[in-house]
Amino acid sequence: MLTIKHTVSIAVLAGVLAWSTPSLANEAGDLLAKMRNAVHTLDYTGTLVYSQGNELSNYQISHTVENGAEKESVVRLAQGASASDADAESFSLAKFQQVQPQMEAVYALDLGGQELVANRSCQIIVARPRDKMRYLQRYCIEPETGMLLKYSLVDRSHRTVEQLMFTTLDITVPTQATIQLSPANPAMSAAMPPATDWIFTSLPAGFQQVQDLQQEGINGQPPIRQIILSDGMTSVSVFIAPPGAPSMLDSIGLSSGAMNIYATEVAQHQVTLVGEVPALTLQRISENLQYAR
Amino acid sequence: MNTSKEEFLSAFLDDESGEFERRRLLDELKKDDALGQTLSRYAFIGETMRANKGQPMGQGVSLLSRIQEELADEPVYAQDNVVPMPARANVTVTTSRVQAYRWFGMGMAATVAAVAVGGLLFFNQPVTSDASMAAALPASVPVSVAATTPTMVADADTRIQQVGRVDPQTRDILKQYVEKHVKYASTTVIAPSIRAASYAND
Repeated sequence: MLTIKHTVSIAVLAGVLAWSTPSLANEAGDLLAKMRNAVHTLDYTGTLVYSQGNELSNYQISHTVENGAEKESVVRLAQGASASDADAESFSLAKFQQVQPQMEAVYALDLGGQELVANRSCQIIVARPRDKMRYLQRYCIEPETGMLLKYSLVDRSHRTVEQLMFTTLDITVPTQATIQLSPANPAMSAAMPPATDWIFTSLPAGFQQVQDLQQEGINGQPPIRQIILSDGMTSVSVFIAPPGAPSMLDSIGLSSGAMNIYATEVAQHQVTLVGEVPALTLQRISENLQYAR
Repeated sequence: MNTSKEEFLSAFLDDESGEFERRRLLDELKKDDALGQTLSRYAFIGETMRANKGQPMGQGVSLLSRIQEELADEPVYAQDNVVPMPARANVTVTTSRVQAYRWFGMGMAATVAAVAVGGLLFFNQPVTSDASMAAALPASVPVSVAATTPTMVADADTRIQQVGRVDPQTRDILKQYVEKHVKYASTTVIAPSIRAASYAND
């Protein structure tokens, strides 16, 4: 009798867990989608702390939506810095692409607890990678507005390689959020059809080509190809410089916080990979890049 | 000797005790040497205090209350002026050292045990290939199975963090690539703007 009771209890528990896990993941996914929209439609002003590796800095950020167009200002509050305001163009691939389906194959979304950031309550969401090819991403999002209050990237050694956190924040919800998330970015008009001359024989799980851009060359040099790969949560840029372009060292690997750079030569072309992924991921991508012509 | 005897002593010296109490105290003084020493000390203190104030003995003021008044008149020592006793400090250091050695010993023992167990597990574990680990992943795109030797990874890791050694031309090129990546490829919100400002200032 006792055994039957235990079996039934375990079955019920398993059923509840099986039902609740996807539900929580969906809730996390919904909140992430809300956040991606909110940061472009809300008016907000605040200061935040940004850490990159061992460096720590303060920023004042201001974002407004005027006549459907975003205006964003980011000023670094450095010691002794002047109050010069450098308007920054609002940009992000996230503006053009929502959470991609393949993301769920390579990340497990978890809904965490509540936290207080900048005197606002926010919900923790963790995108946990299923392999070692990407970083763990931790968000803290205010459920009511969808505003991102805290964000961090954590490597496999549980080291926070990049983090930003608001210390003060004022949010105004526009009365008519008429913003059009159109590709106003001039670079997007230079988008090319998917590359056929350069192909990836294979890519790390979840990554796929999302953009192929032609960037102007440096100091009048031939144009540079920028192929953008994304797994839905993070991205890698593959820059391909033609032969004769200003050269770098044959092979180089650099790291700055979450961002890694890996440069090598493929078919006499200088290939440089940049992305907020581990160095190993960049290496794997470069190894599978081939010149087809 | 307890507090009541001290009070009897004080009353005796101040000439405030009755006959019965005086006789009882004298009996106690015969048996209790410590009480006798206390009486001598109180008498000495009383004389000193009276000498300082120019007061004759036996003014009807309790000796203990006068002592309290004198103590109240003493200057208050600031915390900065208080120097810890060296003997006690040494004792603390010795104790912490002993504790540290004890922890070190325990740590060494634990390490040796962990290494032994770890070694056993390592040599007895089944062999798992990278390919089978990759196959376990729910991949929409085939996982790259191109073998990357540990040496290559180690070399890349060694090269990383060598930003200072990059020549100026390479640095300029890399800076533009980073700028373009942040500008057109970042997938996360807010962070791209901050990254852009951060790299622009570097």
